[in-house]
Amino acid sequence: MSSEVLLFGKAVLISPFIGAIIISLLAFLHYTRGNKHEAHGSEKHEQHEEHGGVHYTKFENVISTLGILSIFVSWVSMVLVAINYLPGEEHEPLQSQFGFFGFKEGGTPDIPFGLLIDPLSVYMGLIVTTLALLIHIYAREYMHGDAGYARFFATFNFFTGVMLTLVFSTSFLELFIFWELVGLSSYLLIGFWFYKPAAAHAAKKAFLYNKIGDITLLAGFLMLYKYTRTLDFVELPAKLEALSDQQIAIVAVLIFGGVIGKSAQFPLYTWLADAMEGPTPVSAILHSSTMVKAGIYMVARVFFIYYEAKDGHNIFAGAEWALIVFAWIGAITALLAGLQALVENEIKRILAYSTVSQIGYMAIALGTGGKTAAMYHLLSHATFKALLFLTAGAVIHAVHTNNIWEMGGLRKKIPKTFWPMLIGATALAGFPGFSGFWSKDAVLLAAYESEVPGHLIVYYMGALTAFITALYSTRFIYVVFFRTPDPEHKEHVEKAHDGGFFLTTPSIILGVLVVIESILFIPVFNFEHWLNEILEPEIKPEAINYAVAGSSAIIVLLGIFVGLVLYHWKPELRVSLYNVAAINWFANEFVAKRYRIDHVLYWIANVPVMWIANILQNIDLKIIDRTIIDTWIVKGSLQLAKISDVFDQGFIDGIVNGVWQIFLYFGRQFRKLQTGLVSNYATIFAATLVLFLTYVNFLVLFK
Amino acid sequence: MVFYWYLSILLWLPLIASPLTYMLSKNKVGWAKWSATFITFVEMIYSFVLWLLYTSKDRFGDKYVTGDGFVFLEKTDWIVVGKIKIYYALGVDGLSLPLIALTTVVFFASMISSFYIKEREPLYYSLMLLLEAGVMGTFIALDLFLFYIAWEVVLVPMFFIIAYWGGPRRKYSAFKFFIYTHLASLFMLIGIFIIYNEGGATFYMPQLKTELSTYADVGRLIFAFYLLAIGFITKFPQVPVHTWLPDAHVEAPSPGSSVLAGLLLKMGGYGLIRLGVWLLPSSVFTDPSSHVRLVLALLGMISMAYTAFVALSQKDMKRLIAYSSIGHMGVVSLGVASYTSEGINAAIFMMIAHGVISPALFLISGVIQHNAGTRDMTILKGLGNKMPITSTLMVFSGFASAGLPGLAGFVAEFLMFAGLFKSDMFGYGDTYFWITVVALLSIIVVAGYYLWMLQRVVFGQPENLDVEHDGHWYELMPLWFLAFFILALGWFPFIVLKVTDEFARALIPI
Repeated sequence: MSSEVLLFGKAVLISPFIGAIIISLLAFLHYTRGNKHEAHGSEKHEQHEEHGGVHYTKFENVISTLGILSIFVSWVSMVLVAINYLPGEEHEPLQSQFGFFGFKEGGTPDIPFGLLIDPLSVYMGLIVTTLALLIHIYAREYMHGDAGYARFFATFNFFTGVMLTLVFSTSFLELFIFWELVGLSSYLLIGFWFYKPAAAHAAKKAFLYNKIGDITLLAGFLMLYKYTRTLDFVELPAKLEALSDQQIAIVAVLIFGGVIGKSAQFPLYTWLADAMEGPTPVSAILHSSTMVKAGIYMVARVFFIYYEAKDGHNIFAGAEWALIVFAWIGAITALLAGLQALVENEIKRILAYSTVSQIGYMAIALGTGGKTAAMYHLLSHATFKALLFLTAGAVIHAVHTNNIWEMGGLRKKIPKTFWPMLIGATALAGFPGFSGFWSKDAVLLAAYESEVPGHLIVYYMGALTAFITALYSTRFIYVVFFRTPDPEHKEHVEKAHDGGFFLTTPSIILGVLVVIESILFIPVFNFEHWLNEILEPEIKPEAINYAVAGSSAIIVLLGIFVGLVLYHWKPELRVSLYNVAAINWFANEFVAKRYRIDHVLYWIANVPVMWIANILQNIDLKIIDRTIIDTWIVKGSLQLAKISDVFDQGFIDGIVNGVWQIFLYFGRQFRKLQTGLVSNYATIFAATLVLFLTYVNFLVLFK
Repeated sequence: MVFYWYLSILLWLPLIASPLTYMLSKNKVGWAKWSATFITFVEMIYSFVLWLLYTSKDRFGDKYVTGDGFVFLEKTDWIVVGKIKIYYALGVDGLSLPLIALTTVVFFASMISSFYIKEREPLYYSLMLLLEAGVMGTFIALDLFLFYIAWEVVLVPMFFIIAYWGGPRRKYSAFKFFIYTHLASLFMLIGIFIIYNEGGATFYMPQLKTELSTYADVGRLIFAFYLLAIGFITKFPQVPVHTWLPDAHVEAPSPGSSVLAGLLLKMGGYGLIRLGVWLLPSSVFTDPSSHVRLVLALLGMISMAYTAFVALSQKDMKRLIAYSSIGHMGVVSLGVASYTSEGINAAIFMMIAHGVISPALFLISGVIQHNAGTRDMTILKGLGNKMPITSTLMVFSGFASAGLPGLAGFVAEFLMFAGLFKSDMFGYGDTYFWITVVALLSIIVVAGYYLWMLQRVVFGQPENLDVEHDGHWYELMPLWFLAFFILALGWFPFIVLKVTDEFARALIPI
């Protein structure tokens, strides 16, 4: 049975890559056979039909069908893996490996590459393939009319394959390789509309911020490699004893550095908001539901570096300061990004900050020892956030604007978008009984019952974030769908209409999925216990804590109530609140400007780097090249040459010339002896020779 | 029957073809490029065949003469004057085999991308063939005398290629290149004579190695190492003797740059490993009184960090790529300095990886210059729209050079860092730690300048750019060809590492 599972697992990974390759080849042929596409940069939304169906070109049909089909194959294989692997009590990890470097036995240990199937990877793989399939279907219509249609699908398929391989990685090296490759796909997809300067800038920023995290991650696992001589995830836990507590803590923090970059944690989270320059399907899958979760997934994968199970409980594996850093950064991120979502006006950016904040929750859970809680929240968040992004894309598609204040009253205009979005937002807010409520509760419970120093403060920050989450969810739903639109924007709101079949169906399916999850998560059905059972069987599940659950229910309801007060019942209260200088400054100058994080980073990273670059450039050109080489060495050599020349001409040549003069003198004298007779010439020649030799001998003898 | 001249064919084919190409195409100028391309193609296929034969050496070893640790060994008396005996000795091992294959690949790609050259074609192509013979000789010579001749022969055709077919400041750059490297190789020559003297008066390397391994006076050998290293490090080059490289690259025609970066730099790396690490006894590196590793590590680290910053402030694309070359060679220095088998593997692999990546980048800068008329990154903008295929390849090679996993450069960087982490820190605890940290951080800056280059050149909307079409077939074909190797080496590094690991582990068993 295990060989079948591995076979299906390989199909999961390979299928998207095959799709990507075929699409690239088709696109290349299409391009070279004279179908020069119109220049990129023409406004794509204008090309949509105002009413009626969307007319795909033949090329678009072929490309999107191929893209969706390859992901579908991947999804079916994934389901087959899950059906064959997940049932049952024992879940031994299955591996299929080969040595990446080809080193022979006995010397440098080779690092394995291949496939690792265990409950964690199957769980994550199911999430990724399902969402990728739905979002591919959505992208078929969303990207319609874009000059880079094929490029989009090729990159998108490539990303799906890379992300799945990351999930099924068997060693740290393999994970790292695909970790950076998802960064590459993120770069390519954020910069998809490459002619837009903002997109180019955002793409670069995303990659660089990620790179900072990647470097610390690299250092972290190289340190592991130094002491344990292996990077295999299955072999690693047993070999950790070679490291002292402090070393484990250092490794843990370095690895967490990777999470800060990839999963957009404080202080490197601002790239995620800028990443919204990419097309909406990209935001839906890369920048909310899967790629940015890679960090959380990785920590869950190497959870043994952070916590080890003992007597049914998680205890610290290394020094506890690493976990304090971890939990605190999670809490700070959750809170700061939540506040930012509250003041943001662009719908996709609101969702982006909300994503950051929710990933902060997962970091809290991991930092306080709740691996199950983190993965639980990961599932529910991935579903509703993908749903929210897809519907947000549909809203933007309908009204051609990103700013929520230019929308309003869309409830009746786009019902097929409104209802799924409402479900998603309710789940995000954590309305009691919805999926977000249960998973968030698990996270808060983990923080509450943890042994990390300061865990209660982390818990309170999490609870405060829950309030803010409810507030901003209410805010954007109300402003977009219920508020009477401003007169100057009335026109395009009037014209808004739902998208076509492919645009609406995936969000409806996702809406249904959220509802199913909400039902499944009700404690009666024991989903969390089951998750605990497969992910960390050696840990006793936490019993439900009614104090924590009850207080979060109250907090959420309070948040929604305050939201309705501020935006519906008493909007003037909001205005008067904003008139308070301190609040105004806090919201507009501090929070809306990203707490000046970008500014600070600019001053501590960009400015010194460019400053050093300029100085070194000057050193290179002026000092090394011009001064040392050109002036000292070249000019010095020339000077030396000149001196030698003077010496040569003045002294040595002087001697030679002197000799020459003597010869000349004698020559003139001898001319008189010129007779035309050979014998005379011979005599003179011989005499000269004798004279010369005598002279040379003289020089040599008396030197 | 045993066949002896496996490697002589490799060496003499371009050497003989060089004057023939010139003479044959005296009247038919168009023949030169096809003749040269054909020769390099044959040479490339032949080197692949040699690779296959090499990997089967354990089974059929007796058929192609192995001895003294080398395969395809050829050894005959060449010059015998009294006691001095100089051999014509060629051979291949795990260090030189990948470099030989690299040489033929890079020359084939460069030859095709030279098709745009219209002036003095016969001379150009015969010089290129001569260059190939010289580079090849450097990699396969087993006699120091022959090695030195080949090493110096390379300078002449390269000098003329820069000086005749180069950019506006070509004369200056050509002279700078020649004087710099020639002067440095004189130091190397002194080093060679010291080794010759200490090692029992022979130029034959395997014999020297045995003689030197029992030699006691480490101090003198360390001195010889430094002399040799001056020659190699100038050729790499490493900071602070690197300033010839940006100038030479900027002025050289793009195929010339690609050979310069792809192969001539590798001669330095090869020399460092062959003469510095392989020939000299390990005590030069491991002796407590020796600071060789520290010096190399510092040079490598400075080259990586320093050039990363300098590259950031370049406006000319080619200059930027040239500086990145110096940084990549820093990986070679650091790999050697770590003195672990990972480090040596990393050094060799980096030479191969950089040998396919940087030619691709230089050729791309050539394509852009020929079609857009400039390489100035402040003027170039939005090429993604105008030259989609070139842009795709540029993004690809740029990321490869920035060390993206899955492409060739990453494997070398990873192994180098693994070696650095593993190395015993060598009694310089903190120093080594900081060297590693600085080298790691410089990778971010490297990614930064490549991304910035892409942002300026590929992204955005084109303004004031007169680009009619994408590159010609002879400009793009070599790029696809090199891209294939970049990708293949990134995913299947064991193709090369299997060969190099044998060498590295025989050298440093830890």
